[in-house]
Amino acid sequence: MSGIIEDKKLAEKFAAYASAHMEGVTDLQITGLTRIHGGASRQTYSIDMTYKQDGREMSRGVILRRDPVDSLIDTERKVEFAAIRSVEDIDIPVPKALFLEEDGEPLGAPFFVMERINTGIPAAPFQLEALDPFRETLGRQMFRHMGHIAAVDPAGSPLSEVIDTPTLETCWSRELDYWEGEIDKHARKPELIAKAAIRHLRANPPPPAQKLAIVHGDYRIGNFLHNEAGRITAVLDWEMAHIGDPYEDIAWAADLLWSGGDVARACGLIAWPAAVAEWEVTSGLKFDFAAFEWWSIFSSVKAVGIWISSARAFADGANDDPILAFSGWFTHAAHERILAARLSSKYRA
Amino acid sequence: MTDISMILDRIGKTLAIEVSPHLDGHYAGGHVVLAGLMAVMAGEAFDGTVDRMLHEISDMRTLLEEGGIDPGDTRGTSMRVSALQIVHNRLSEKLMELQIGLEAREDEAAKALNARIWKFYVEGADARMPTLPDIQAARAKALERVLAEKADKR
Repeated sequence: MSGIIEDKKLAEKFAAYASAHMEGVTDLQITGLTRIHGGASRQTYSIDMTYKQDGREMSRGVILRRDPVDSLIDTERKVEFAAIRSVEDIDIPVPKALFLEEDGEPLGAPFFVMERINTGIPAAPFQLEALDPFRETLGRQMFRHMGHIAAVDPAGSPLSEVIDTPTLETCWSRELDYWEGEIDKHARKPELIAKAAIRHLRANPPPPAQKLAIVHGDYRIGNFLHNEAGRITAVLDWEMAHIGDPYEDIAWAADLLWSGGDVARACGLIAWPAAVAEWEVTSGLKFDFAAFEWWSIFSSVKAVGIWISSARAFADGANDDPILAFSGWFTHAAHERILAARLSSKYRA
Repeated sequence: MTDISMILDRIGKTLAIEVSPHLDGHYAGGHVVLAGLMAVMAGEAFDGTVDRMLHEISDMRTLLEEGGIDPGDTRGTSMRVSALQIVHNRLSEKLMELQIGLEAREDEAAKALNARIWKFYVEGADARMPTLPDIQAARAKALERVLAEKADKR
């Protein structure tokens, strides 16, 4: 319980909303409300509340994710909410999704609320050495989780009700079209490397997806909590979830930027053979290097798309969060460098 | 004092290392760290950007001429970064057009020039990569100090 209420008006409005939407609850009080840094795709608040339910005194911690004016990632909050609901019964730690409100009236912008996981800290992508004692065990869990997510049948899932489902053959082109569109829409200068990479990907398509799967879309170091003793306690940030090719998740997770540039270890954590073995056992799929290679290059293109969108939001004054400027500068440069290094080796004379 | 790079470097490190611990746990603390890091990056870029852009413009002109595309006359361009960026953008559009044409060809000359364009991309990407200052250890020490001071005041 933080005891600090950084925004009293928001706390009052949230108390009114929660009182009206939690069955059998009375005397609800907000005892803490602090904004969490880093969640530029949503304004993220940690909230503590106390209330009475069935005559008993209760307390609960929740996370409020409210839409900002502009963000790193342009997605609807109902997608994130539905994605979490789609995986809450499988063997991965996800916070329970509680409320979804698409009306901007109650809190000034659409939002959703999920249970707060009180155990764990986020792993920092640029400080992997802090994970040294637990690298392998965290890596095993990451690939196991991605395998479990890939194994879910998306047909009939809550996620399938709010987004389109591609065919096995169109998973790659749908994602590439989307991210090329984002790059073209938001670029503030010619994007030579990203556009050359996109042409390369179109000219060398991957095999059709082995199956349609729920794709987290942003599972990587930085988007899970761990207990500092080797256990992942929560898989977070589902706002880019969709239905697609399961390779997309492992390729994104293993992108070199958040893997410390480590090519020998998957995600900078675990030897590749062990990572692949975990994923194959839990997903029921066979690892195909050609498919992975395509999705791996695509991941860096997608990342460039996100960073270009961030830079545009900052430059246009739509959102002054410095994380957008940093993403549009440092991480954009880093992914251009990764793409140029990888693709230049394929075009040597 | 006109040592802009030095000023930005020092201000940035002060913000990220010395100021941000006073805002630890507050949302604005994260903003201050990032603002500090970017000030240091800006100091580095201030010194090197014109040189980098002139080299890239020269390299693009050479590639375009070898590919049979007129790069246009860029003599007399102002050395302001904003003016150089306009020229850079124009040449970049032409370079993209050249590369698309090369990719459609199978001959060795086209492959060789395309390989040189990729080499130019690698060199440009390396040159644009900012150095991320390592502030972790210094900031951790400053944070310990701030927390100790707060404890003493209680």
